[in-house]
Amino acid sequence: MSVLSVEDLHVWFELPNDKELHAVQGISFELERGERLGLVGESGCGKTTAILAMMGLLPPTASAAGRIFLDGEDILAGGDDTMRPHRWTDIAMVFQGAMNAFDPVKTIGSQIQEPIEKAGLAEGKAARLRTAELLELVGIAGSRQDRYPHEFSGGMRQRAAIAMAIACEPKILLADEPTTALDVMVQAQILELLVQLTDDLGLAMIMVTHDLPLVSQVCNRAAVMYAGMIAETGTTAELYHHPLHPYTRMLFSATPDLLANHEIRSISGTPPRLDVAIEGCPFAPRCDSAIAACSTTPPPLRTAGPDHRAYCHVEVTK
Amino acid sequence: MSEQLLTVTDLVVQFKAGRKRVVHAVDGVSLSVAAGEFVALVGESGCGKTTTAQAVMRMVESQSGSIRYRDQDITRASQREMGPIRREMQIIFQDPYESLDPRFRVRDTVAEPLEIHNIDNREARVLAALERAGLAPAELYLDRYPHELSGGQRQRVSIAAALALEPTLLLADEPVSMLDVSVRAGLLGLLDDLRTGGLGILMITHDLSTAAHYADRICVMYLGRIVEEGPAHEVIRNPQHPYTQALVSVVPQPDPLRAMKPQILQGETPNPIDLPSGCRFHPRCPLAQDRCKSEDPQLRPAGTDGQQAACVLL
Repeated sequence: MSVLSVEDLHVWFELPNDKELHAVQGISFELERGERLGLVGESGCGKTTAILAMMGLLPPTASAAGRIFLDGEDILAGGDDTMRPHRWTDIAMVFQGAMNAFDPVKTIGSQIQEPIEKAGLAEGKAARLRTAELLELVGIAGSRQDRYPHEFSGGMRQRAAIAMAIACEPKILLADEPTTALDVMVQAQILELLVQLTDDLGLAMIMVTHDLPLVSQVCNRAAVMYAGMIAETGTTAELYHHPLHPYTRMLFSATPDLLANHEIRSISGTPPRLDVAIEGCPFAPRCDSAIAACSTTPPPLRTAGPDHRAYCHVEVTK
Repeated sequence: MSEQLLTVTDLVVQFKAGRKRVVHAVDGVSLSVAAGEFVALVGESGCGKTTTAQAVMRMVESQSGSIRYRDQDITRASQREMGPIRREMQIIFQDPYESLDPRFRVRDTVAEPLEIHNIDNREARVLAALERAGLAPAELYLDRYPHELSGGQRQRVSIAAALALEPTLLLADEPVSMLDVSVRAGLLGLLDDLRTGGLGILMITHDLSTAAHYADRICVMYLGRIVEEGPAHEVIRNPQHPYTQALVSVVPQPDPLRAMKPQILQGETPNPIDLPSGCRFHPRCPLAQDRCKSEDPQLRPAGTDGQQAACVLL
């Protein structure tokens, strides 16, 4: 059974002009135990909003609907009452820019210790010991817990942020752009750490990113999001080699590849506004394969294999 | 052979960091850009690539070395002497959200350099520059403010403002790194077209995949020095310097079945205040030997024709 199952999740934001922005428009996916799933898409596609909903950390102007099953229990049903018991202890998150979010006047160790003590896992000396263990786990000497954030490099602070997220031994780690703003070599170090941690601890991970090659390198499976919806899900190999959705294909061909010298093509146009209802397929105006039905009718589900699904009117011809 | 537009020789740029401490931002860099050539200067943050570009533009002063534009030494040129040269040498910056004045309409942003250089026939030049930058029909964009434009369109306005003076050399500092993947290709394709039209381009980037794809030549910087340079294809496919080899190996690949074995260097780049002795890469180099601690390697031919690397083991 999957550890997390999201069914028909919607998120709306209230706008000042009495309108609503439909940021997440009915997404469904499953996360297996110990699996690394990529959630990819461009800015504004709803990927961060979706995982904030899973943490129950949406801002007050947002409302969510749908079902989020954690080990069979719908944790979205009772609002914060059903979310709170699982936050950090079952589902934890590394926020985008987490490495810059440490309090500059507290030691790194005391900031990691805080959630351990709050969750009642350990106190005082035992919590200190646990903090040292966690730092060692992410590749930082435990003796450095009394250092302040400014004494750590960016890469080390990101490691500490990961240690903090896994402090309460969660089953699921949500990582939002965990390597953005890091240099390519430090990025490689952090990705290696995430792969090793999830393998060693049996931790399932959802990695949110705009960067397809990162997902290909780290994740087993990925969901490609566009305009608040999932356009396609599949294994990373299926998505690269046999994409069902034109958006997936076009996104790969817009991505420069270090070794393959394919022609790089941009995708013209911009994503649709999410404060007005979308008719038909949201990608239709930018799609190179659109037919008449695309702009009027929501796209049907297509499958190719057990785990490979896409919502598109057009059948891929090989 | 095409005309050399920019020739930088042994450039040194230092900043003071408190008493007696010196940041060796650029520590002996030589590079050149010819007309119609696309050169990428790649490296990690703090390696000195942006400072190099700023020194070329005379936005920061260099301590030694020389900068030549065409056949003119501009290393110590006065601001007045730089005036006409700045017409021909333009720079665009990373952040399209910060580099445009929010109170300026597109027409004002693009016309401003024309006013500064007192060039007439502005309206026609503005329209032409916008169209060259891919904002067509230009009339549609003239009266818009930056907030009415997408990130990609803003960056195109920056490019249009740079192109309005019809420069021969364009420096581009991370021109697409703030933009979504789907629009990056359009802008890089635009730079590529301009290059085909004879513009010389020096692009500063941390993204090897982009450099591999668009540049004719790649210069790899580490701690203030160029450690390898050569034809883009060779530097990527056949890297000679151990740093380039590691850098190339950790670039994520879009095809999950083609993952390379990443050769991950431990630690992070040391700060440019206390430079390591000998080869500045030796503390992190997987191949370092004793003599690397004392010998400071210079660029010399290595690998394929036209390729150079600074490593004593080659």
